[in-house]
Amino acid sequence: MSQLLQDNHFSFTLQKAGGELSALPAVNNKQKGTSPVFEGALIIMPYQEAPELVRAFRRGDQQAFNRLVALYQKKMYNLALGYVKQEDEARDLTQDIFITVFRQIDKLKEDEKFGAWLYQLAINHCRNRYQHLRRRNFFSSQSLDDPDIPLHLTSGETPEKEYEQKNTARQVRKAIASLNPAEKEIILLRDLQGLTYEEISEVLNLPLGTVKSKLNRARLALKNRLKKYL
Amino acid sequence: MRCKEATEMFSDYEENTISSSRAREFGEHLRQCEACSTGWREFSQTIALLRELPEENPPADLLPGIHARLTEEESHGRWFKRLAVAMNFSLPLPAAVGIFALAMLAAFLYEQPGRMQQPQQTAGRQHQATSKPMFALSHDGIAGNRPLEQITRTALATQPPPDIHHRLLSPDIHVLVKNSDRETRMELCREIIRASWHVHRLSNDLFLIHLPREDLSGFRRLFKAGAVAQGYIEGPGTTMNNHERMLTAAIRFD
Repeated sequence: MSQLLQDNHFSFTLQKAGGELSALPAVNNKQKGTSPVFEGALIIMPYQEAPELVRAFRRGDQQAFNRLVALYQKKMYNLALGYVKQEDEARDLTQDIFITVFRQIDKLKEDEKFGAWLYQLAINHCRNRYQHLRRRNFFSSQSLDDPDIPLHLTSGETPEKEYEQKNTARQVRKAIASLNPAEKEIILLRDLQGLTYEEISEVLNLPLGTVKSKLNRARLALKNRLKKYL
Repeated sequence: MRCKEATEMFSDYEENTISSSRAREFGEHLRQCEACSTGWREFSQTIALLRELPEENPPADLLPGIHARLTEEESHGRWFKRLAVAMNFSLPLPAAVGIFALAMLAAFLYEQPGRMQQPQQTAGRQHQATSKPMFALSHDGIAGNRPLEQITRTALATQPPPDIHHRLLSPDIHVLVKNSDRETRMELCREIIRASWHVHRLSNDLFLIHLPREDLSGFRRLFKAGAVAQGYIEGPGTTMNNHERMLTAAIRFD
């Protein structure tokens, strides 16, 4: 049974796929001109739990905190990975984010806005960590590989296709990493995290029009970096 | 429609957030302009690649790691608080740590070679107390790679202040670690944690460690093994209410 739930406060639409929850962007490019309805799939939104979990956590329920981490850890880890690229750094950064949540939950004014607050907090952590690593030339040796293998959208059904898929993902991630911080940030939030324009506007504290124009410029910059592979 | 205008519409067109009349204009422009047509094709492919990018799974130890770090920080906080209570410490902990950090930073920034006294080699020897400020000495005054077993004693921290609790804010051991890479630091941190010493991070480069007096040889071995310490000064330590003698070490990574 399909059920589309809407949360007014910053949540994501998740699709049950192969027994695992995977996030989909709020607007799917394959369904141009339609609202984000995913037919035939079980649509659930565990992020709706967040405000209640926050309330429970405020009351001292440690399990509620664990559940919050479980809900958001994949999103936060991938956001961190988008900034720092290296898995160990991304793990530490993600842990920093949740430790700050643990310590500063009292600073969250509205429980319903936990998602936006978490993303703002995460973005700040990521920016600081990125600057810290950049000052230490952490990113200096990272560049795109030679375009000997064109990038393909593949399903990974065979080992060859799986290799191609991994290679493609690696190159795209490198290209994202090579963007300037502002460009990278908005691409991560929109195209990888699947936030809506309104949500990005709230997280980055930018007018909606600015978000749109910045996103377009960032995507064009990414396109130019990937052009030789396309 | 001009090319610039068309390019600015790529995202809107891709997400279908423009009116049908604007979309028609856009399509018409693409049919007439090869450059924009190519640009649009590449743009669409880029977006498709982005949306196909698989999400990485976080490491399995993410949540246990969070709990471990929270527990560790909490235990350090509790330890210091217990210590402060045991010594009738009157300053609030953040203020005390803040004062200590400022004092330490001031001392390390205050580089004045020549102020360092010549080391006195005989351990346990009675030292002349001087009136030098507690943090006025800089390790940079020590020349070369002095072997660490030559524990130097200077005026630093040899004149016990009147209140015992101040002793915990005046390091007995000062170590300056030069030219250390991240791995060396991580290894040192791992060893310190393994030894169950209490670590306080005062800044990215400055750490405070409390260790029992009997662990001093292990402490020396650790920094000798790292071959990174360039300066080393040892003070008398602080005797706790339970007669255990604690040493406070300040480790600065240069």
